[in-house]
Amino acid sequence: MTATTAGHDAVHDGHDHGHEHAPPRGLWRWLSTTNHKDIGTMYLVLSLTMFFIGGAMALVIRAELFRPGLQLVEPMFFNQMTTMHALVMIFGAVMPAFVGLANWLIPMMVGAPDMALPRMNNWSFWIMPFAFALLLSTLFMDGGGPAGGWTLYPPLSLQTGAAFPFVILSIHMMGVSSVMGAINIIATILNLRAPGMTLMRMPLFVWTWLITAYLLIAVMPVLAGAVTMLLTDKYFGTSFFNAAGGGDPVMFQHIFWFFGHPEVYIMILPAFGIVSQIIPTFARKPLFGYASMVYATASIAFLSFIVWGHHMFTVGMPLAGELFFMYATMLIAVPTGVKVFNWISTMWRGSMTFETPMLFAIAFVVLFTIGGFSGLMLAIAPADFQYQDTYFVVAHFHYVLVPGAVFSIMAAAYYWLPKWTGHMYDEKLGRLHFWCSAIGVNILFFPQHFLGLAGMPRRIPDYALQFAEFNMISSIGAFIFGFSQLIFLWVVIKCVRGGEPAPAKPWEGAHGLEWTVPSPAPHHTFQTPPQITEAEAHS
Amino acid sequence: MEAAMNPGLPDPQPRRRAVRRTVITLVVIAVAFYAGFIWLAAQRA
Repeated sequence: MTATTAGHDAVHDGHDHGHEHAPPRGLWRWLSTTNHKDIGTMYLVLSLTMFFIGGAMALVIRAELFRPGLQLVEPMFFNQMTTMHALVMIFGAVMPAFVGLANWLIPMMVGAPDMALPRMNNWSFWIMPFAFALLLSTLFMDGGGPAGGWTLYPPLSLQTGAAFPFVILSIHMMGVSSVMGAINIIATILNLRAPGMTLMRMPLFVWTWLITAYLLIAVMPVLAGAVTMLLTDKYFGTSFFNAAGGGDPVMFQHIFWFFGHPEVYIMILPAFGIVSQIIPTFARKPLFGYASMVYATASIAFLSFIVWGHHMFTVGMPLAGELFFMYATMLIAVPTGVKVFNWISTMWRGSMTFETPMLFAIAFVVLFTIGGFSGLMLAIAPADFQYQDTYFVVAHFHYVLVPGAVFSIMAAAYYWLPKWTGHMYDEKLGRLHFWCSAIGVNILFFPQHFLGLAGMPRRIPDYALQFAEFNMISSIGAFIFGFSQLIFLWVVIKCVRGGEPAPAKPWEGAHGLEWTVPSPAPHHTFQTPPQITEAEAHS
Repeated sequence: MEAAMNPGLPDPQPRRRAVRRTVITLVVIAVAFYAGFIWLAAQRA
């Protein structure tokens, strides 16, 4: 979207004044760093680690479900796996990946020297490994880890054993980290943009993150409030959600989903931003409908606050409530449709090439749309009574989150790896990774639609015989998809260790300030802000 | 100091004040959502 004439003097101007600091070496560098690139790298490494841990849990689930009957794990442990898989993937893999990308890219994209609050940035990151160590340690406690599902509905979640307060503390820690990260991102975007980088000249990735950060600040405290109340109900004699004491367990669901639905958009809006960066590059055309993309993102964010009731149609609510939540949910299809239309229009008559980032971005558009359509089916209140708590729901949100959010993260990793490492990644291995992932993910999740429509409930370790074939196919897909991610790990390690040197702008059609600095990006960039002009902004 | 050494840099003081204002506003919003939802739930329970 944007470009600059500031050139190399913007890269490390400090060098000219003799106070360019080389980063310290060893462990201390990573513990004490306030550099946005270092912190971005740490977030991405944490995210990849948690992706494999959460993925291993998913494979335990799919291995157990490979055949009907109980084979490998105890039902209680199975329930712990479904709960922990969700918590680890949502809070440990997807969200930190986007925060890592934000750290690496937002300051460079807006021409800022670093994040607005670099010390807080360090703190935001270093809370996370401790939060997840705490969460994972609950698996080894008396009574095991949480097993009532990631939604933590009372009264079931209150039956968790010794692990309960540790789970609550770890969720609070993740929330504090997310809120601090969001404050940092908003403060950076609003206050540290280079001269001439007006809001409507910002790259789409920056826009989507700005809106996502506001969502985070509004809803993470709500989750924190909900789990605080769970804690006081269990240990301090309150009755927020205890019917016997005058409380209301359904109220927890309302509060949880007031957080939970915007959370879904927290995991998908930055993905929209990534795809909006990548498609114009490989279509060699400017993004179609830039302004409408910004307004669509803002509309989706607004609507995300008024649709939470669609997660709980079956708890019983007045007809007017069901109608409101149904129509409000369907309205989201309008701005989402604008986005899909714009991506396709950007590709239309473009001079397209299909490098790995573009393959993942195109797959995102197609497969995310499938997830969107099944979401529309679930939005229909009377139909939802049939789908509620079945594998159809599992298929729906996994289409949104895996070939949606995760594919966008993969696309981003391939797209910016040359900028981060200074080396080109192995394109052949990248394409192999893409095709194995794209085929595997569909074998994994598409049959789950049929299982759900046939009535198979979610979160169970055993099932009736008529579900056997589709479960077996789904589990085969899971192992194909899961082991394909080892290719990605290998590509990343190989690219970090060496490879063909990457130029400053490895992609012919790329635009933006991050491509004006050398590859790998120097430790300090844009200490002198670049000047962005109207003509450059729309090049 | 840095701005004085480098005429290309804008005066950091107004920017620092703006960052501080942004952070205070956002912290107030976050605390309000946390406390507000607990307060609302307490009214109903």
